[in-house]
Parts: sequence; structure tokens; C-alpha cells
Amino acid sequence: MLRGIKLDEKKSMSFKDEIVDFSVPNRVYVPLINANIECECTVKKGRKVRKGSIIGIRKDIDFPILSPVSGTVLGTKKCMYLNGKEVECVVIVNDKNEKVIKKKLVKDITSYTKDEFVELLKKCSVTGMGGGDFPTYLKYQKKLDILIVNAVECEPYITADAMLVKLKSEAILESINAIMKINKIKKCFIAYEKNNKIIEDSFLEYIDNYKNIVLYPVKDMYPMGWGRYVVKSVLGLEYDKYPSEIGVVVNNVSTIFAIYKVLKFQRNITKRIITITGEGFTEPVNVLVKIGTNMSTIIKKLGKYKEEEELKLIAGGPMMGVSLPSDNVVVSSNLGAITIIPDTFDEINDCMSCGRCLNVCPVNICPIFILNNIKDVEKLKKLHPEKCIECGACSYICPSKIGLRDAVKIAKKKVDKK
Amino acid sequence: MRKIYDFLFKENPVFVLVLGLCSVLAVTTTFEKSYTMGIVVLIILVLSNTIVSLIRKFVNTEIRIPVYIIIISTLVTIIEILLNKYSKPLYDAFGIYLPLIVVNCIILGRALSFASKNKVLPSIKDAFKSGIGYLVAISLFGLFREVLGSGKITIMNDISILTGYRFIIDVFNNEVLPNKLFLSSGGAFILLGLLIGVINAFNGGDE
Amino acid sequence: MKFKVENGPHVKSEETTSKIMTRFLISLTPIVCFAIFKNCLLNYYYSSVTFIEAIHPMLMIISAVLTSFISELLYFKFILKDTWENSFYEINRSFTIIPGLLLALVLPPNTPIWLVIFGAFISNILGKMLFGGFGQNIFNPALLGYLFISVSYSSLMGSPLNAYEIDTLAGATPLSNLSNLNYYGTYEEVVGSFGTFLNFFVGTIPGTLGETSKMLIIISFIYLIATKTIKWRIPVMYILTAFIMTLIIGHNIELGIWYALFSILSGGLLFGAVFMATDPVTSPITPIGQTFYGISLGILTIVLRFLTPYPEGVMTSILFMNMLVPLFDKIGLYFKENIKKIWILIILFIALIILSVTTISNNIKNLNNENASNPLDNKVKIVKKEKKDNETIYSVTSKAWGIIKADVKVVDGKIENISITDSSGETQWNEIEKNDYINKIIERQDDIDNVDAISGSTYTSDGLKNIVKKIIESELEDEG
Repeated sequence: MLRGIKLDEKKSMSFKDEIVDFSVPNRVYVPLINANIECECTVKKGRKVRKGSIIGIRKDIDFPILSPVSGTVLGTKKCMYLNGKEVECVVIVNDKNEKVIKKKLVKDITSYTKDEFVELLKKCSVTGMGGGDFPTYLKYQKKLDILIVNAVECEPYITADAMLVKLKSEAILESINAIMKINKIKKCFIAYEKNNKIIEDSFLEYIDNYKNIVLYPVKDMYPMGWGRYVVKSVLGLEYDKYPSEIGVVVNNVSTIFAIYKVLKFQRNITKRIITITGEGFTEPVNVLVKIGTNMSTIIKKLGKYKEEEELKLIAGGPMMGVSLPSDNVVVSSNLGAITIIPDTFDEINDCMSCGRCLNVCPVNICPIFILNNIKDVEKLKKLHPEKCIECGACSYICPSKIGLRDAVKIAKKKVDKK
Repeated sequence: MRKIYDFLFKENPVFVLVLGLCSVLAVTTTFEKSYTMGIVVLIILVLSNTIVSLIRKFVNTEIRIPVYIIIISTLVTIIEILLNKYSKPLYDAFGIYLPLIVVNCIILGRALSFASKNKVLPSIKDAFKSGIGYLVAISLFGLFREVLGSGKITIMNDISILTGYRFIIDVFNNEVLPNKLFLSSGGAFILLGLLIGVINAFNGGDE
Repeated sequence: MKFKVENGPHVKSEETTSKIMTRFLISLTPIVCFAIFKNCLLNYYYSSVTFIEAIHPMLMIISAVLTSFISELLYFKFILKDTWENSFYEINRSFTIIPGLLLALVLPPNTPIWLVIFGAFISNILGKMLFGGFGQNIFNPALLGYLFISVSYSSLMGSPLNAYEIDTLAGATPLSNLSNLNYYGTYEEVVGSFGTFLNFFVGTIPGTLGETSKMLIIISFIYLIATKTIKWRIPVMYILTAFIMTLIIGHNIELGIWYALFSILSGGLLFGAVFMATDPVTSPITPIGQTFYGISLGILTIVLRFLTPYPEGVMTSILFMNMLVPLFDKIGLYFKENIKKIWILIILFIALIILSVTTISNNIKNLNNENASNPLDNKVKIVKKEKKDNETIYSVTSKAWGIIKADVKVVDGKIENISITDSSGETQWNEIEKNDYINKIIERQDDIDNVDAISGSTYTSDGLKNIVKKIIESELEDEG
């Protein structure tokens, strides 16, 4: 059984017909980090770079970080990353010429072999754009049977993926088709939330051309976008650690679009759509930005904060996102939204043992027992806090407003240490 | 004064260390039974501490617990026989709890932790200290329990064969009190908990 | 601009503890209203009570609620040494009036006000605050208060009957009536003397303040489930288990389905299951734990009703099971991990149900077979009989709560003296002493059937009366 919570839908706030283009920044700050592992800078101050030049490298798997603009390197600077920590970033002054290393346009994007495809994904630094930041080429190394495209945006405010689908549904389908041919995948499912009609309509327009691609509506609840849930509700299967064990690959819809760019132009993705939304902001909208842009410049141009209330600025959606002290956050490929909402002053009560947190936990652990036994590591081991995916459903549902997710996080660390 | 208070309430084996509760909860239905039990324990405690302290050099550490138990049970048996002869009602009232003095934690505890390591005189002093603490605690508890539970204070009834007097004070008798709940063992637990709570509050708690 | 930094999630559900407790209170309002309607208004119209006597039940509820409120306020102010402002804030968060209200609803309508106040005080202070306040208590506070006053002052608790009910009904609640019938009777005897099942459903039968109207309880239950206020598994499993068990018992002793229906519609089963057993603080958290907690409650209640002299059993079993809540949570956690082993638990509980059901049915059959011959022969036994001139001394044993042993002196066919040699099995013996009951029955030995039992120690009184009956019987035989 899938457990989860029903959240108030607030997507219509930011979903407009057009997106605002802010893709020509003066300066970019490219964070040298991949899947929370710090990378090394490979360029010196003053070097000229082009779009796609290697500016950093993740040492353990030799994974490159590429420049999103052409221009001059100004050095490195610590900037705020979406997890709220200061991260070393390469500062590049944009010369706005959009020079690339090698101009290329592939006509038939299905013509690659599998090895070429994997190599290209690595070379072009494609990472999961849903939030995981996991290098995508790793997912395609095994033999695969089924591709699941994750277009489920279960966070209540974000519409970036829906916007992308609305604008680029044809390219996305083409990309899926190419991936399937290259990897000899037989079947593809596009999972989306049942009530998200925009995604459904956009795909329905072109889907008749592709016989093996199936639209699959899933239950409208949080955290439906979690990989395991998508696989479980689409295929009814469960896996141990990675979906590739059962021959399944799950990709976010933005990642699929990035792969399209890679296959077509053989260069990296440099822009992405970000939702700037929330009750604390006057002009909620989707914007197209270059990776490495400082969000504060964009927000300043867009609109104002409603300053009469105390606000929270969250990188990502309100459930999984991290609240930041200021808006000087740099755009990375896995940042999907900036949510600005007024602070809620919750009064914390004693636990009344209602058991709601047990009923919503998607991984079937018992947050309140973990909180009660937080000091006893032996007991904690039996309660399996390491399973937690930090979705925050328990903290959301708790009528006493106890910070259960934080407790489980602490327990997780304690169990990991032992 | 301060010293006496400290030794009676701050180092009390029943209220502070929560030892020897078996007899405290079981036989305290009247004041008389309580203080006679206290006196019996006091006597046995003094005697056992004296003997244990005297033979401390001859007893091997490995077998000391059985040896002490034998000593204490001998003493208890003597007292039991004496009581049976001179005060049958009291003997009947104590029932199983008289032989169970053998395993009273206070007696064995003092023997193990103090008398087996110290000379005779300090051991006797220690025995008096603990024994009087126990006596005060059990008498106080018995007094409360009897007043609340039967509305009387029995000072001499069962032991009147020895003393020749009967002496029972009637405190009150209406429909609210006495409340027979306090005579049951459940009520005894509640009352003891409250008493310990009050004493801890006066002592200033643990921290 | 500076933003507030906080750990997520940054949206929280609308549900709060106070909303849950408010809904719980809302669900209790119809029951309170019906209690006042039945015990105040109907009482005033149908019998000749004074106005003050008529509003007595209302005063009980008000005084219980007020006592809960004030005692907790004073506890915060003087024991925890808060400021007044803080104390008011704290009692607002600890939902202080619920124990008092629930306590008033499980008391019979004739309970003295001071006893209600005492019980509410015990509920809130001993049952809740001394454990550490809301969320920390092990036992349901209201039930702890109820237990406290029912054990201490059972004789003062008063009859569950209203003034107008005493005239029309046999003088007992449906369940004590069933118990007096040795758990076996025709529909007319068991249900008919209180009306029809409609009376049971609507609530015009004698009982404690809150428990009578099953209809309103069911409506409240539906409301509570629909708003997700209580743990639905516990009441559903509780009532279902009780129903199935009595259904099988009814089948075994050749009574119809009405027997099971009677069992769940009479007494406080529904009220206890919906409002007491589901108290979130004192019930298991895990779903499996809740399910088996409910089943255990059902088994325990039925066993207590049919195998012990207590006709009710609901409050006692809930209080007892409260103690085992951590165990049920452990069971729940274990079987959550090993869901395939759950059949062990199911088999265990089915075995328990079968065992208790067969024991109960056999017990009922035996009791009623005894009745078919001479009921006294099984209850009173003459151990020794010494005759000297016109004086006879009998040594008898009588089955009461325990066994009473007595020597009876009879002179010229009249009982002159009963000296009790052993009454240690009787818990309520001092009630007998207080009322000088033995002399009373000696005085009225010719009219022994009309001597009333002492309320609160009915079993002991009956045991004593049976001695007198048996001796008279035996004397008559000797003459004849």
C-alpha cells in the first residue's frame, strides 16, 4: 500500500502561459559540487572559456563540470548552494557571445550506439535534474528493459516540469524514443499526477506517433514523485537499492530534455526552468535561467517580497526544501524552485500518541518511537531510521507539531556511526 | 536537630534508598504491627551486624552471602520462636513476612557493605542508624495507613499479653474516612508513593 | 532581505491537538444533553422529586468539570509555581476538563456531589498531573478517578436508577439483572423487563449518566471516525469481539441472537469503547497493536462480565489494558517487521476466544443446573451438627464472595446466635459490621426473604441470608 499525505494544491499560482527569460546573466557562479561531493577546480584566473569547457572535475568517478557560458574566469568564490551551505563556485564573466567548443547538429539522434550514448552523457555532464544530482550515465550502464519518465511534481508549489512539458513535449517524446532505440528499451511509461491535465494534454498531442510510450497517471499525493513509489505504482515492483536491479531506469522529465539537447547538439545543458513562487512574493512565475546565476538579481528584477510578514525563503518546495537566510543562492541544475512563504508560528505540544505519523510514513518506519528512543542506539537499530527518505510527511501531519523528521535525521546519523 | 533530621529523612533506607519495601507494604495495616516489625528488624540488624563484623576475617569473599544468610536466618528463627511463644496474635499477624526478614535488603545490604569491612563498634552504630531509620519510616507509614484506613491508632493490642494494657485511640469514624482503600495493598502503594514524594520534596529532590 | 531559517517541512497540516480535543468535546455534547434530558427533565416530570433533586445530575457534571479545571489550575500555580497567566495558558493546552466530564458520565445519577468532586480531583491530580501532565499518563485519568471512588466508597455511589425508574423497574440495571438471573433467561426476563430493544437503543433504561443512549454514542462515533479524531480500530474490534463472543455463548446456551445484541447494547460497553478505550494517550500507536488491543479488551470484558461477580467489566478491563499498552506497541512493531508471522497472533487470540467462550457457557449451564434442584444445597453446607437438649449448634460454610464459615446456635427452632469463624474472603466485611447486619437477619429470620442486602456488599449479605435460610430449612426437616 502506498502511504502519503494529501497537500493543498498551489500550482495554479505560478503557472502562467509564458515563461520569463533571464538567461543572459552578466556573471555566473558555477558550484563545484555533484551529488553533495565537492569537486576540484581545473581552470585558473583569467582563462577564457567557452560553453562546454571543463571547469571542474569530480575526482572519484572522473565526472566533469562544464561551463554554461562563454567568457573569462574571474577565480573562485564561496557562494550559497541550495542546501544552505557555502560551496566553492567558479566565477565566470559572461561575454554574451554564446561561443561553443564545436558547433554540431545531429540530424538523426537515434543513430548512437549504447557505448557512445553513455560516454556522451558523461562527457556532457548530465545529472539528475529532479533534485538528486546523480550522474545520469551511471543509470544507463546496465541492460535495461523499461524506462519510466518521472513527471510527478508532488511538491505543492512547483510547476517547472509542467512548464517544460508544455513547451517542449515534442522534443521530450523524441528524446525518449531515441533513448529507447539506443538502449533497446521495450517500453516507456510517463508517470504524472492524475489531476495534472497540462502534462496529459501536452503529451497527448504527439503521443500517437510513438507506440511504446504510455502515459500513466498516478495517485495525487505526496511523496508520489519518489522513485520507489513511481516504480511501485507503475509496475507494481519493488527493488532493493537501485531500480536498475530490476532493469528499470527512472529519469526526471527535465533530465530527459537535457539528454535531448545532448544528443542533438552534443553539448551540455546550460539553462533550466525555475519556479519562483509562494504567498510571500508578488509575481509568482516560471523563469528560464542560466546555471550559475545568482537568484537575487533575478528576483529583484521580477517583483517584490511581501515584507509586512516574516518570510521564509526555501530552495525547492516547502516539503523537502531547505530554508535559506538570504536570496543569494546560485542556480544549480537540480534547483527546481524558490518558494517564499510566510512563517507559520506553530505551537509545539506534547505527543498525544495519535499514531498519525505511522500511518503516513512512506517507508513504513515509526517516527514517534524513534523520537522516544533517540538516546538508545540499540533500540534505534531495530526501528530502522536509515530507511528514512526525509520526505517530512510525519512532521507535516503531526497535530502536536513535533519536528519528527529532524529527530529521525539525528537517529539516522547515530545508527550510521555505529 | 538538623543532624537528626538528616539521618532520619535524608539517609532513610526506606524513603530515600527505597529498600525493604516488602514488609513496609505488607504488615503496616496497624500502627502496632508497624512499630513491632520495625523493632524486630532493628534487633536483627544489630545482632547480625555484630556477628558479621566479628567473623569478618574468617569468611571467604566467595561464600560470604550464604554465610550471612545463615546467620540472619538463625536470628530470625530465634525471634520467630520467641514471638510465637509470647505474642501469638502478633506472630499470626506477621505471617510470612516474619521469615521474609531474612531477605530484607537492608539487613543483608548493611552486612555486605558495612559490617563485613568494619570493626564491631562502628558496625553496631551503623546498624542502629539504619534500623532506627527503618523503624521511623515503617511506624510513620503504619500510622498514616491506619489513621486513613481504619480511623484508629492501635498502640497496644496484640502485644497486650506482654504489657498488660490495651490502648487503642479512635480518631474518626464517618462516611468519608476511614477509607478502606488504604488498607488494601494498592492503597498502600499509592500512599507510600505520596509519602516518598512529599519527603523528596522536603529534601529538595534528587538534583 | 533577511529570511527566517527553520528546519522543514515548511508547510504543516491544519490539524492540531486542540482541534482534535475540541472535536472530541463536540462529540460528547449530545451525550451530555441526553443525560440531562433523561435524568433531570424526565425525572422531574415523572416523579415527585424536588427541583434541587432533579437538577442533581446536572450539578454532578458541572461540579466535575469545574473541579478538573480548578484543581489543575492550582496544581500549575502552586506545585509547579507558574505565574497565573502561564497557568491559564498551560491548562488550555492540557485539555483539563475532559477527565472530569468523562468521569461524571460514567457515574450513576445519584452519586453525592462531594464524591464527584473528590473523584474529579483524583482524576486530574493523581491520574494526570502527577504522571507529568497531558500526554504522559499511563492510565486513563477519568477511569482512575472512577476506580478510586468506586473502590473506596462503593456504598455511597448510589443507585443507577432515577426516582421514576425505581417505581417501574425491578431495581437493577439490565446487566445486574442478567447477573442475578445467572446469565440465563428468556427474552421477556432479560430484555422485556426494561422495554424493547428500542428503549436500549434510544437510552431510556437505567444506567450511568452517559452510557444509556446507544444511538447518540453511535452517531458520535461516526462523527469521530469521519473527522479522523479517534483510532477507529480499537472500538470496532472491541465491540465486534464482544458481539461474536456473546453470539457463540448465546448459541451454546440455546438463546437467540438477541442475547448478543443485548450484551453490546446494555451497560457501558459502547460508551467505554468509543470514548474511553480510544483515549489517544493511553492506547497503542501501532495499527496492529490497536487491533489486538481491541480484541483483548473484548475478551477481557466478556470474561469479567460472565465469570466474576462484577456485572459490568468495561471500566476495569480498559484500566487493566491501559497498563499493557507498551506491550501491545511492542507486538505491533514486531509484527510490522514480520507481517508473515501474524497468523501466530491470530491463532493465539482465536484460541483465547474459544477457551473463554466454552468456559463461560459451561459455567452458565452449571449455574442453571444447580438452580434446577435446590439452589441452597450448593451454596450452604452443614459441616457439623451437635444436638444437646433443645439446643443445636451447626457449623456451616456458605458460598458468598469467598467462603464464610460460621457456627450457628439454635434454641427451640429459633436462631439465637451466629458467630462467624472465618470471613477473610469477604472484601466488604466491614460494611456488614457497620450495619450490624448479622443481628438484623437474626431478628428477622422468619421474614428472611424480605431483608434487603447491603448495597456494595450484596454477595456477602446473600451468603449470610442463605445460612439463615438453610438452617431454618434443616430445622423444619427435623421437626417434620
